[in-house]
Amino acid sequence: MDYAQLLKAAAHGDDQAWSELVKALAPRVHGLIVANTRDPDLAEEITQSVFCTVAERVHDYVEQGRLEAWVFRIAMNRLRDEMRRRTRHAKPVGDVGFPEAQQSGREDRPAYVRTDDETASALWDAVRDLSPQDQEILHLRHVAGISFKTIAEMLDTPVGTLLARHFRALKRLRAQLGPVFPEFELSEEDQQ
Amino acid sequence: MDQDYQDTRLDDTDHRLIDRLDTTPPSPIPAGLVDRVLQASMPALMAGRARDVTRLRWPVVVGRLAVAAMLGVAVVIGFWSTPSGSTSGTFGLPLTADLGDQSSTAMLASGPFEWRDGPLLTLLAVKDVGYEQALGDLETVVHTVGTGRMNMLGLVDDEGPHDRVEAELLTVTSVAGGAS
Repeated sequence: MDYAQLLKAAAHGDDQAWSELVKALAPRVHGLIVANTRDPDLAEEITQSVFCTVAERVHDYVEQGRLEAWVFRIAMNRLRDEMRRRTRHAKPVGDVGFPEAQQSGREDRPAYVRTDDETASALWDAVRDLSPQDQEILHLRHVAGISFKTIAEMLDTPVGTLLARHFRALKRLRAQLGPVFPEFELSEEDQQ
Repeated sequence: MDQDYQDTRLDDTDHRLIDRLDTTPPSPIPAGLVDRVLQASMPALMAGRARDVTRLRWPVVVGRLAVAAMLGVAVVIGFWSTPSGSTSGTFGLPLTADLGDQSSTAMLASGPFEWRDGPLLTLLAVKDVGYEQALGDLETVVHTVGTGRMNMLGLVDDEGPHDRVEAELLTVTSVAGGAS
């Protein structure tokens, strides 16, 4: 059953269908928010809020094959609202960082091998150094797992523009990662 | 991830980086996240379902009111357009007050009243009946109905007892209306 069918069933009283929909989408929404805020608690709060909104408007959705776009658009709007609110209250956004990265203990190891957590931390730290536009396309595509087609619907942007933006973001990320991850270093051709 | 557009400009290193991004989440999914989201969203889901039921009821109510209004209008139109000759009993009697002050010649000559000719002729026939005679007829009718001996009324072959009683009452009412 696809997402739209699950939502329709949920709207007509099928709690199991709603459960399946939440199971499929909530971790992706949470991942997208936490990638932007670096605050897992806030990300969970926003994720809950997003699904409350979807639940309240369960009958408003008109099937056009865009349910994913609808849900993630709500999530992005909620995220922007939260960022605006935080800016207004002059709170620094996400100084929490990743505890794993702060407690790596790297210097104590004679032959250092990067852990998965450290790899993740270094990778996403490099993403955070990119422009907001580059971050957005990488988060939507590789954290939330949204197809280019759906992102195009969400952002009301042509797919060709998104592909070009994604391509440039990857190259910039490789340039950032080069010193830490030699395997991703840009070729001379790319650097030109 | 579903079928999607492929960028042919990406090289092998780009694809390796994409694989790494896809398989390395920036933060682990908290344990019990789905359960907590479900718990938080269930009341909203119930409200959403209820809201739709409420929203659906309004058109039904409005539709029923519209049908009722149309029926009402149809009944009124039917009442005024049905020839009173086709009605039974005293249904057409309100016309008698209007007829009482008109000359029979004028009434018969007037085109628009053609459809009323049936009851009109009946009314004209009884117009000259005296009040006492009509009262006597009424007494006869009441007595006959009261004693249950309706067969005593002089009936013609195709006239039932009720028709007879109604005819008598029509006479009395018409005369009484004319007298007042």
